[in-house]
Amino acid sequence: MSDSTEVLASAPTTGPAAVAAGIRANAGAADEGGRGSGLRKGIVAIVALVVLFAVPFVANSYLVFVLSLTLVYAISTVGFNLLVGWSGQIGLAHAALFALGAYGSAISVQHGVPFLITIPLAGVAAALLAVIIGFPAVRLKGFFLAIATLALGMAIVELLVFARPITGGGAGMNVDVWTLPGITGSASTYFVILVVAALTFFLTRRALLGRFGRTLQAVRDLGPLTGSLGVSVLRYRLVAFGLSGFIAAVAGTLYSQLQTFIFPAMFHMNLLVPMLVMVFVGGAGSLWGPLVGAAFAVVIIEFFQDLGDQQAIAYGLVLMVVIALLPGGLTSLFRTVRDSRFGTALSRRKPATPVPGTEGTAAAETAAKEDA
Amino acid sequence: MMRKPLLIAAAAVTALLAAACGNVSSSSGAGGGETPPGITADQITIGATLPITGTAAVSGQGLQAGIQIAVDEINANGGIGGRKVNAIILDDGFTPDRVVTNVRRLVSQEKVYAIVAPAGSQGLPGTWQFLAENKTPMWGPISPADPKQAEVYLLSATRAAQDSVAIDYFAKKGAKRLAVIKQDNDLGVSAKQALDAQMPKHPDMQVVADETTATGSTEVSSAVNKVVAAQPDAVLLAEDNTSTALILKQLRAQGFTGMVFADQGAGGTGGPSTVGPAGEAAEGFLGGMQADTVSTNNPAVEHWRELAKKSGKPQAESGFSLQTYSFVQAFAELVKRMGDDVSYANFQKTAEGLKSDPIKLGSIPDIECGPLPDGHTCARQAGIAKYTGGKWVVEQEFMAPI
Amino acid sequence: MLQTIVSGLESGSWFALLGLAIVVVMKAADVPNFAMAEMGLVATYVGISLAAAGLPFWITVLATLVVGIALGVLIDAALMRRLSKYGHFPLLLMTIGLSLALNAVVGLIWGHDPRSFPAPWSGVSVSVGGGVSIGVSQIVSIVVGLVGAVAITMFFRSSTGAQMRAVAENRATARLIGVNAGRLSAIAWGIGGLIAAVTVMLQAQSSLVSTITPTSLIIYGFVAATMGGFTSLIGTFVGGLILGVIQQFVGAYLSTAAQFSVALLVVFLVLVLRPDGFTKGVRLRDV
Repeated sequence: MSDSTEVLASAPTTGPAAVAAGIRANAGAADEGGRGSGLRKGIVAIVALVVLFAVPFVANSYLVFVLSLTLVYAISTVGFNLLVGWSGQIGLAHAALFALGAYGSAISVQHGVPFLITIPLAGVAAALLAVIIGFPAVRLKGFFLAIATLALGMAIVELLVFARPITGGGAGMNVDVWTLPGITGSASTYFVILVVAALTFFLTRRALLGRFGRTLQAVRDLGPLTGSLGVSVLRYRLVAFGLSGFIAAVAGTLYSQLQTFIFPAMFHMNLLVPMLVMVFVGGAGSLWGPLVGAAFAVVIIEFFQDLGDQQAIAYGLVLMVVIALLPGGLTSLFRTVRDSRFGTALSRRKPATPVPGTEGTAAAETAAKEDA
Repeated sequence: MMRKPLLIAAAAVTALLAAACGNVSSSSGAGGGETPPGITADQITIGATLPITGTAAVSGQGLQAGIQIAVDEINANGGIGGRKVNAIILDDGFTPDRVVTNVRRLVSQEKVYAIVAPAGSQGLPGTWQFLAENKTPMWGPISPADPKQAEVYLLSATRAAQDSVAIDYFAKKGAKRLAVIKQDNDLGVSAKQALDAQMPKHPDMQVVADETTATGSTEVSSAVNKVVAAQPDAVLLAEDNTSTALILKQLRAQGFTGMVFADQGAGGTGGPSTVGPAGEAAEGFLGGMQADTVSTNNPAVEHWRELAKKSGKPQAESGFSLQTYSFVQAFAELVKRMGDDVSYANFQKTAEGLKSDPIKLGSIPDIECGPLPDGHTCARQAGIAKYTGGKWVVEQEFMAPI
Repeated sequence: MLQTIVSGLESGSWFALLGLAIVVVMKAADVPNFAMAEMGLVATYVGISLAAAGLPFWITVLATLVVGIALGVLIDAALMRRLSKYGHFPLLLMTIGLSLALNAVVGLIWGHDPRSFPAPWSGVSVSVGGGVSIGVSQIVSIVVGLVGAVAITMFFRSSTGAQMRAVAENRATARLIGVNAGRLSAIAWGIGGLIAAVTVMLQAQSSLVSTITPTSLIIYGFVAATMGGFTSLIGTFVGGLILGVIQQFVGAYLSTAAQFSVALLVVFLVLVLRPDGFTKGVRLRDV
């Protein structure tokens, strides 16, 4: 009896626990955040923002659209990453909460609510729903949590089909686009997206680098043991659920403005799988991973456009190669490079012991050392 | 030292703002009278987004082949009024946000004159507002519902129109009990529109079963079980190729012998995409016709068939290919009729004038667009074909719903 | 009613078998394999091509199974094993990438048209009275599913199976007592590929398969595996069957449109009430 329960308990939990190495590699990012001059980082961020702000003035509407889409997915991935990467819970209702934001905003706007107000409104509604979903689910572990949240998410999307009088059912609904006076719809949407993206990244960065982020990680890595430190595990897990739901819905409201027409089939597995890809390709538990992951998912498809009917296979292969070479995600590449040359020179640390074959391990080890 | 990049960036941004402020202003853009993009004295660029990969690749590759055949033929004959046609075809993998992205790319980046024969009926509505902003015409999109807007022209009977013609046909054949199996997306909505419009006109006929299946799922057996239990005389399907074939197989396996109809897209009328997988169960199956893919004595169709065979691609001989082939030919005819004034205003004027002088290709119903609100549905007629003895034959000529 | 139960048991057998394939790989190699249904699809398409080329039915069945096994072993050796030290997520993502690539390969080689695997009994049905007739292919699905489940359970009682159980229970200890984890992982992947090939082949002999099939099949497979707690073979098998039957009953008596979500909601309730899989209290000691 004891053996078998042992297996039952451990098999599903190995998910978050065993991945700790990979995630901890990215957690190095958090430590690096403290390194270097804060002023310089601030300036870089402002310059980047100004350049991004200028894009619609020089680029055509296609490029603006691709950039907008990337930013929307990046925002959504920040939320997903918070849940999956930082708190270690594989909650799969993210696409449904995203859909809730899109529909909530579009329906409210139709009933005369100004679009800008629907952004936080949809966020709060989705956060509440996420907590309700999370309440029974946080007690589940690993894949049980994944399947349970997947089930609820699917049911939510299905409800959108049934609520035909409000949502237009399976055929979808039109979205009224909000515009700044005198400016095209695409550019207006882009500016809103840019502001929201900047806020999201700024706020989550602050939260995750501080006590909140450390506690989330502790809850993830230590599990129930954290209880002895005086931290309520369940409460932190729920907060992670609520926050990620909030961010998902905010991204969803922007997505609806971008698409101008939404329907339930947009938010099925065909959205959830790319969302997972964005989290892990970027690097689970890293700060800038969501941006990198979203850019990967959106931009690479545009680059493969010339490959005709071979592009689907090319996408799959690139994904496999990235994971094979960089199991910690694309952002681990930057750290590996930095740690190997500049990092060692600057901080006079011992060079990371290169493990034959993979760079990811080196990053993981360095990070482990930093932790120690 | 740190201020330098900031200064440079600020200077650059100011310069850019000053230089290119017009880019975001909503008052600019291609207006009615200006010269539209994508057209010069010797070239005209058109574009389309199609599901060349992904779940709808069967239709997407057929549609692509049709555009290619038409463009090659037009260019071999000297182009449209001396302008060579340059067709840019993008793949959307049957995902809606890529349909929207692709249309933006075609209009803003590739600078096409018009979007001709694109597919993706669920994703296309996401482009209506954008097209209106840019005034770019969309000529012959494959079967979305009519948005009733100036830029969009529908050249073939919508699914709802085909379903309506089928309901009339069922009534004519004396069917009293009608069953429906539809997908929970725009396909299902089209079927519902047809039912709402036509059932009141046939008081003797009633709907005895109305089942819905989930999009992308091949789980159809419980819908079939319920339909068979309702003992209908006729079954109307609004599903994708695979589900249609599957339902057909299961209906026949359970001994159902009545009439079964699906629209051209779902039935793959004229080609093997549905009847092939359905095997023996396809005997007697009815398919809608937006284009005359079936008859063997129509010179326009025989001409296309010859070109399709010559292209060497099996997809080129599908009904999808005839559809886009015809749409591109109709586009060439329209541009020819526009004469020297290639402005979008004249495009709309010439197209809406087709009511009095339709484009007659022979392979599809005559294209007779008129003014808005309803005139941009340029063809209402649909035919019905029957699959008997291993081949498609015309069961009912092209006609409009009652 | 009877028709509903038989249809449910038939699709339930597919879900159950795929769930078993997932659990076997999960147990011995510790990989949540999202490419499982695609592996079966590739194998089945090879078999269909051979059948179209005129080979006898049973030879094509054998070939399909061999391709399934070979594919599993190959994927394990070439892609998975070197990633195993990074935990679940990179492995999971690798199988997602693999599923996209395999699906695209099938589309390129065989096209996206749906296909069937014609068996000697295809289209034959047995009348069971009351106007209800049951297809032989449905019976084949159910029987093969049952036989497959028994065979896998038997395998885990053999000495190789015992070693796998040891690995599943504790990797480090297993290595200490001289278990070759690499060989076991290859065997598990081979078995997984074999079962996946059987699953998709069964679906193809009864209905149609195409590049769309794996998407929904893999979700049902994972749901079945979850109901068995990712460890219990019997729990997975029974879970798959129940899932299939629930789905049919929802379709028949509630709404065909809600089949999928209601089935998933039932699973959700099961999970919330019994967080370690629904067979925890009743299962035999099969791990």
